Order: sequence, then structure tokens, then C-alpha cells
Amino acid sequence: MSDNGAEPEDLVIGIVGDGFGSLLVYATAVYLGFRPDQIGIFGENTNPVATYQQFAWNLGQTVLRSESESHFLPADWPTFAQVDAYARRSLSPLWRSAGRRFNPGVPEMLTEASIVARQLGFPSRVLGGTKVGWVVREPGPPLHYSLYDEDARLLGRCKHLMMAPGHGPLAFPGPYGRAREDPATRERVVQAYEPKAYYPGGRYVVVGSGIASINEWANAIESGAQCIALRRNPHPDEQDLNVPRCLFDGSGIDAFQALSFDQRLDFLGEVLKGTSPNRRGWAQIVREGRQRGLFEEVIGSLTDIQPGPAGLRVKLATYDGAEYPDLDVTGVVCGTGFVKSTLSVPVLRRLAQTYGVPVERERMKLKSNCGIPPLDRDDSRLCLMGINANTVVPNGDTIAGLKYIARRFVGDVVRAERLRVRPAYRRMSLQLGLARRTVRALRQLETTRQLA
Amino acid sequence: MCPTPVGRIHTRVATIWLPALLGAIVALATWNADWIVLIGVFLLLGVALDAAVYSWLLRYQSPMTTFALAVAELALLLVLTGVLGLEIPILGAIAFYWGAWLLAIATKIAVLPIASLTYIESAGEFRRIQWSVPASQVAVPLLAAPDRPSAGPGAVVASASGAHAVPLEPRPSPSGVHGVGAGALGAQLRS
Repeated sequence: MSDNGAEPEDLVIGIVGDGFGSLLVYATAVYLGFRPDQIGIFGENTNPVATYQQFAWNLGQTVLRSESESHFLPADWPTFAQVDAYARRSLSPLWRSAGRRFNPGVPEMLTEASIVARQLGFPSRVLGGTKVGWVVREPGPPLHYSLYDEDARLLGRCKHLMMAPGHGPLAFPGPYGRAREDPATRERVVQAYEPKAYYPGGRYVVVGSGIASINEWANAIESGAQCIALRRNPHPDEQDLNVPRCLFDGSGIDAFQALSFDQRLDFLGEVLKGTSPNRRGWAQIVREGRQRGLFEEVIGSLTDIQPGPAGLRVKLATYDGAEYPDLDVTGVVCGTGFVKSTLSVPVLRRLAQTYGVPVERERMKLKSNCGIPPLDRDDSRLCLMGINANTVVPNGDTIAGLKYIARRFVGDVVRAERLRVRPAYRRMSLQLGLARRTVRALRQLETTRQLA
Repeated sequence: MCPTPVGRIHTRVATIWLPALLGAIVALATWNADWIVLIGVFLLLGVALDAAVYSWLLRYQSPMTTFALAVAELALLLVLTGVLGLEIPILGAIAFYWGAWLLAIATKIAVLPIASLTYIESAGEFRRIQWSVPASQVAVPLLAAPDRPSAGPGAVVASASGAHAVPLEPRPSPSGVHGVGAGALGAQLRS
């Protein structure tokens, strides 16, 4: 990583952010033929899995919700199940994958990501070592973007820029936010993605019905605590992925993009409601918890959180209007995800304020190519990826969605720069080299237990 | 994968090369051209099923479904072999079919995703690496203002007023309902 005192570099591709999205753009660009020194990553971490790893650890997550096709090798073959099967000399991953019951283990997937990053030289292309605060359009020629940190120091310049800043801050809606601001209750209201501990004999309300919440149900029960699972939605979909499966490929994305911006937002609001994966591992833990009197599910929401003799006293409003007395609980765990507003990410908010980027219902109105208007141009692209781009690519915050956006962005840059693409046999060689190293590394790891 | 009808046909055609090569080798080895014909029938049958049946019957296609379809296609292929009177032993045809199918499926799994980076996420289609709806093709509302108004009057407005106005010759009423007026102007126009 270059230090802050280093001379800012002039690059073909700049990437704001240092996580999964950034790695996928970088890997795709190198795979198609860009040299590493033509690409710069602007962020704090040289390890692209660091942020995710921390969240996964806090969550107690052991497997990804993604399926076998979602991995970090630049091309789609071999899939993760195939690599895993070869590494373990077992047909089980292939069999599970054929039945859509294979979920890559977190350690395995992060190992692959680390290998791809290291082999392709990602760490040495992280420039500046700090967050980007400002993006400035420069007329050139050639047209380019200048990137500055929060203290207005120039970090670098690039012709094409991908914004991959990741999620906004953790969300604490309504009473949870108020409780977080009250010093008397703050410590007892935590997010699923934050570090936390359950204590035997404690009683915890877990809010939400997504993967994060379900993980927390299992964590609470396994630690010997009582878990009250609270969800707003009486009929969660039994769907392991956060959007319907066919939305993950071109046909689904074509159909999604045929909707108006408002229809897309409404659709996302509908499909991104709580999902309840029907995984046997979790189902068994919950069933045992129910039998031992450690688990109960309630449909409704908390309306008030106050300090109480057990830690907190909470008021419950149920979906069916049934009367519940106030509950004494040890803590509240919010599986309420992240703030989805684009304006919660400082660099995006400043971009919108400075250049009049259209924002509607707190989301940027991106072009159908994820371009940020009015700055994005064919000869100097400015794109956005991740959760903030899911108004264009509905699974924009999954590995598959990040890959979808990364490939098309790099494809545009290839055309704009008239790059001679790496020949197929050399692409195959690069891909197999990365897969081989991943196999070797996976053999050093213990197999993660599948939950499905 | 959720292949589109076009994706199914792209894939079917792109995976036929190794089976065709196998057919050619077997035909040369046995000196029987019916093996080549069998591969042609295999391709045409597949394309017909892709276009007319699978495209509406199956939205999401799992690997298990792919195998089940292969078994069904084998049965249909054997029927067609009999109908067309191909001189191929039935056990040989079955063995040949599975050999050809394995080659095709291996091509689909391992070669096509390398040959085309977006093959899988484009629902089995060979597309350029580009967006589903290019920004230049996004539908925009049709407005009566074709361009942003300029700061001052343009040529049209300037010629209609002011010091350098170009005199405008009278023309008939644009209305198709009301005829040319009967007044002085009408008389002038009629003359």
C-alpha cells in the first residue's frame, strides 16, 4: 500500500472502497487484461475481506447465504462447490449444489477471496490508506476524476471510477434508535452485526426475520438463553436468497429494469421483507429451543424500551392486537440491517450535493448502467455498486450482483480504452491457477458444517 | 440458471461441437454415416424442444432437471432413430448418446463460462459484456420541448419580431374544418 505522502497516481480505473465489490472489479479488470498499475483502490484496508469477516464473526455466521456460483474467481467456472469437492475429495458439495443445498462456508469463501486478492496484487494497489471524502469531476482533457480524502488531500486521479463504498451505518429504527440514544438503555440494545454476548438464563428479544436474526435465534438458544423472536411480517417467504432466484440472471434483471424507478423501489420493498430460510440446522435448533421453553415467536413490534429490573422493560404491540403485559428482558438484538439511504454514505451525499445527482426516496436515480448522472459518460464512467445500486440490479449487494455490475463496468472501460482483451487460453490459465491455489488452501481448513 | 429461450438455443448450438466430433470419429471408425445423422437429429430435437417446450415449461432449471430432461430426450431420440430408419444398434445409440451428452454438458459447464465471461448470468446467452438495457436505450418521456431553451431568442423567434423581422406572407387557415375567411385577407388569398 502506498502511504499518504506518496505522489498521487494517474490511473485508468479507480475504485472507491476496499471490500468485496472492490475486489471483484479489480479481479475482473486484471482478468480481462488491465495491468495492476492501471488500477487503484482507494480505501483503508489492504484486506478486502476484513469488513465482512468482522460482521460475520459478530453474527456468528458460519455459511454464506449465497450459492455455489457466487465466488471470487474472475470467471464462473469452476464454481465454489466444484473447487470444494476437489479440495476435499468428496462428492458431497457437488450433490448438495445440484439440489441447491450448498452454501459456501465463511472461512472457505474468505480464504478464496484472500488468495485471489493476494495473487492478483490487490494489496499493493490500495492507495492512500484512507477513506475518500470527495470526488471531483475534472474537464481534462482527458476527462477524469480527482479523489480527495476528508482533509482535502489529493489521493489520485482516474479516467473511470467505480464507487463501492459499501453499506450505510447500522439501522436502529424507531424505538430502537431512541433506546440507543438513552444512556440507561444504550448498552442493552445491540445490532446483530455488532459484537455481543448472550448469557445463560437471560431473555433476549431478537427483532427481524432475515438471516441475521435467525442466526441470533440459534446463538441465543445455544447459549442457554431465552429468545423471543419478533417479526413484523406474518408470512415470510421461504427463500434462502434475498431476492427471487431468477432475478439473479440476465432475464430477471431485464424484467426488473423494464419497471419504472418507483415500481422498482416498491418491488424491492416487497421482496426484501423478512426471509425465513428453511434450513434444517436452524430449524432443529429452534425446535429444540421451543421444547426446552427457550424460544417463542411473536408477530408484532416493540413500541417502547425503558430501563427495567432485568435490564430492560419493553412494550409490545402485536400484529393481531392481543394484549401483552410489559416484558422484562435482558436485551434487544436488532436484525434490522443497514440504513439504506444513499445519503447516509458521506462521499455519496457530497457527490449528490455538489453535482446535483438526482435523489428520490433517499436513493440515487442511477442510469440503467449503474452510472451516476449527470457525471457519468461513456468515455469516463462513474458507476455505483452494492446496496445503493439495487434499484438497477436487484441483488446488487450480493456477491453475484457485485460481480454482475463489476463485469459490465469493466466491459465498458475495455471498450472506452480499446483494450486488447487477454486471450481465452491465458484467461483459462489465470483462472485455473487461482482455482488450484484455492484448492491447496482449502485442504488446510476444517470443513464447515452445512446447515441446509 | 433461468435460461431464456435464446439462451437455450445458444447453449444447445455452442455445445454441439465436441459431440459432432465424436460422431465423426465413430462414423469414420464404423464407416457408417448414420452416426453423424444421429448428432444432427440430436441437435434439431434439442433446438425444437428448447424453442417449443422448455421455454414455457421451465423457468428455473436445476442440474437435477437437466439430467431428467436428458433422459426424456434420449427416449425421444430413440423413437426418431426408428422413424428415420437409421441403421444404428440401440445399445450403441444409447452409449453414444450419453457420451455425446457428457461432452456437451462438460462444454457447457467448463468451457462456455471462460469463453464468455457473462454466459451464466446472461441466462445462457452469448452477449457482449454490457448492461441489459444500455443507458442510451432507456425510454424517456416524450415532451413537447425538444431541447433546453437557449438563453436568448433563437433564429426563429428573432425572425418573427424585432428590428430584423422577416415579413411573413399570409397563408390559409390551418384548420381543416373552417374554410378560408370571407374577409379582406380571405379575398386576397383567393385571388
